[in-house]
Amino acid sequence: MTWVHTWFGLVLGFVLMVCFFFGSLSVFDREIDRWAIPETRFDAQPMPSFDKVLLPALQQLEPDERDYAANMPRLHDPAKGEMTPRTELPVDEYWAYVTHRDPVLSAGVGYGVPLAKNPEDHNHIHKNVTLDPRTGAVLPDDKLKIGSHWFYPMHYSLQLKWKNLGIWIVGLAALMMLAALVTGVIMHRKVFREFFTFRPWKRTQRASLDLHNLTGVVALPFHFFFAFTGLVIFASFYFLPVTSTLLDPLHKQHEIHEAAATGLPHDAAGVPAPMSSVDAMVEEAKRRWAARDMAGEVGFLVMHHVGDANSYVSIYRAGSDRVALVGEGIHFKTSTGEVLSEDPPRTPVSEVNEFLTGLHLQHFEHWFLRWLYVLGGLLGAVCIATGFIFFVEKRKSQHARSGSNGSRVVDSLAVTTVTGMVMAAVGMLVMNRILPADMLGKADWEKAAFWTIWGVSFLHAYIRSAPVALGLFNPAWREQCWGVVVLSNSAVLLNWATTGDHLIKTIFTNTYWPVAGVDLSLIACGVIGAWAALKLARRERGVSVLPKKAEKQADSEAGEVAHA
Amino acid sequence: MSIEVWHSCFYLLLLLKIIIISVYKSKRLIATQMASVQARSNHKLIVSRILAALLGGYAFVWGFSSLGIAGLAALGVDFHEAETGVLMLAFLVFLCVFLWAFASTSVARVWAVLAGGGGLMTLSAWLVQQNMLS
Repeated sequence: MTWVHTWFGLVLGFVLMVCFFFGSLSVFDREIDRWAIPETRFDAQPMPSFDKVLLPALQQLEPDERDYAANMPRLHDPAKGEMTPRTELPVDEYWAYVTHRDPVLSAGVGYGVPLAKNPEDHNHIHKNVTLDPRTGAVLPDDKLKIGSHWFYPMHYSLQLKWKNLGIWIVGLAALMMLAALVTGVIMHRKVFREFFTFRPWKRTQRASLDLHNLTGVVALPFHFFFAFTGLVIFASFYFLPVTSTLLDPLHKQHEIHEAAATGLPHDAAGVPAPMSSVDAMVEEAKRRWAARDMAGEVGFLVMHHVGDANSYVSIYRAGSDRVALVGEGIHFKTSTGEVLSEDPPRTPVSEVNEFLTGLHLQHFEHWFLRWLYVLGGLLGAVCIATGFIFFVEKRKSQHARSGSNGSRVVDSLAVTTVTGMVMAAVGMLVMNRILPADMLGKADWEKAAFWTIWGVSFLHAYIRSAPVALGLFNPAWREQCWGVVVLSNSAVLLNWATTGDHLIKTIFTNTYWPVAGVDLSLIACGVIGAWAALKLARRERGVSVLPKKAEKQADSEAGEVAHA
Repeated sequence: MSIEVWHSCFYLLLLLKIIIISVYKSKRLIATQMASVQARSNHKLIVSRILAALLGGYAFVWGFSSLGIAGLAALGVDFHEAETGVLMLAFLVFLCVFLWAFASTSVARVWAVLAGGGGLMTLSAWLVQQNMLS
C-alpha cells in the first residue's frame, strides 16, 4: 500500500495539484471574471424580462460558425438532401441562465438540423452568448473570462480538449486521489495523533511529512468528498457512458415513457403556433413557488420546439439558498401560457446525487462556506506539495551518492507545479491588465502568457536544480517565490492604474467586493510568497554551511540540523 | 411484489454491500504487507498488476454498472434512479477493486476476476436488456 501511495501519488500528484489549485480559484471564478473584464463590474441582477430584453437579443443571433463546421457534417444525412446553409437553420431552442454570483447572463440558441441522420436525437447547432442583463446587449466573446472559462475548465480538463483526454486524465487522478487517501490512512494508523503533530523546527524531511499528514487528515472528508463527487458529476457523460452506449435502447425507451408520463412533448408537431407572454409564465411560476413556501427567483429558462404547436417553456428556480443548482421546474405551453406540469419532488436517489454534485459545484450563497472551500482546496494542494517535498528529501542524499537524477527531476517538477503554477495564474492576470481592453485576440495573448510563464518556470527550476543532485536545496523555490511576490503586487497596481479601482475605493467608498476580494487575495499571495522566500533563504544558509552534517542527518532517523 | 418492496430490497442490498466491502477491506490490511513485497520483485509483474488494476478495474466497473442499471430496471426501478444510484456506487467499487488488485497475492487472479468478471457482467446486462426490449 505504501508503494501504491508513493508512486501513484507522485505521478498523478502533479495533475492533482492543478485540480486543487485551480479548483480553489474556481470557487471565486466569476469574481475573477469581473476583475479581468472591467466592463462587467456591476452587481448581479435577477433574470430580466424575456419578452422585452432576452427574446429580441436572441433573435439577432446566428449559429456559431465553428460549431456548424465541426458538427453539421456529423449530424446531417447527405442521402436525404442538401446540407442547410448556416444562416438558414431553424431555431429550435432558447435558453437563459442567471446566478447570484454573476452580473452577466448566459443565454443561447439551439438551432435544429433538418434532414438529420437520427431525427429522434437532440440535433442542435449552438450559439451561446453573454448578455448584459440591464440592456440585453451582447458582450463580445473574445474577452476571455479568466475565471470561469480558463481556471475553472483547467481544473477538470487541463485544457486538453483532444478527445476529452484532459477530462479522462483528471478522472484517473481523482480515482488515484481516493486510493491515495485510503492507502495514506492505512499507512498511518495513528490518524488522530497526526492531526496534532507538526514540528516545523525539525529538518525538512520530518517537517514536510508532518505537514503532509496534518493537511491530509484535517481535511480528509473534504478531499475524499471532492475527488469522489468530481467523478460522479462526469460519470454518465464521460467516464461510464453505459446508458448512451450499451444500454442506449433501454435509455431511449425510458425517455419516451417519461415524455408520455409528464405530458411534455418529446418531438415538435411540425405545426407553427404563436408565442404568448413568457413574462406572464415567469410570474405564475414565482407565484406557485411562493405558494409552496419557497419564494424565489428564476435561475434557468428553456423554450423547447420554438415556434411550434408543441412548444413548451421550462422555468426552474435558482438554487442560491439551497445545495441543488436549480430545481422546482414548472412547464408551460408556449402558445397559451397554461401550466402543463410541475416537476415532482425529487426521489431519494436523485436527491442524494443532486446534493453531492451541488456541494461540489457550490452555487449557493454562503460566503463563509465558500472561503472554507478555498481553504480546503489549498490544504489539499499543500498536502500534495508536501508529499513531493518529502519524496525528494527522503531520497536526495542516496541519489546524490548513487549519481541518480531522480530527485532533481521530481524537485524541478514540484517547483513548477507549486510556485510556477501560481506565477502562471497571476501572470495571466497581469497580462490581462497590460494589454488594451478592446485588443483583437487579447485572449490568445493571455493564454500564451499563462503557458509561457509556466514553461519558463519549469526551465528555470530544472536549470537551478543542480544542488538537489548533490543532496542540497533547490534555490529555484526561493527565486520563484520572489517571482510570485513581484507578479502579485504588479497585478494589484495595474488594476489600479488601468481601471482606477484601488482598494480604498472598492472596500470603502464604492464597495465592490468581487474586485476587492481578488486584490486582497493577490496581496495575501504576495505576502506569503515573501515570507516563504525569506524563510527558505534562512534554511538554505543553515544547511549549506555544513554539508558534512547534512550527510550525517540523512543517515540517522532522529537527527536534527545543527545551526552554525 | 410492489415497487416499494423492490425499492427496500435495493437499499438493503446496498447496505449489505457496504458492510461486506468494509469487512473485506479490513481483512486485506494484513495481506497488503506481504503482497507489496512480492510486487517489487518482478518488473513485468508490476506493469501487469498496474494494468490489471486500471484496465481490469474499469472493465469490472463497466460490467457492474451495466448489470446494476439493467438489473434494477428489470426489477421495476425507474431507469433514471437506477442509473444515478449505480453510477455513484460504481466509483466506490472501482476504488475497492483497485486497492484489492495491489493487495492480492496473485496477479493472474486479479486479471481473471476483474476482466473476466467485467466481461460476464457486461454480457449479462446485454442479455437482460434484450429480454426487456422484446
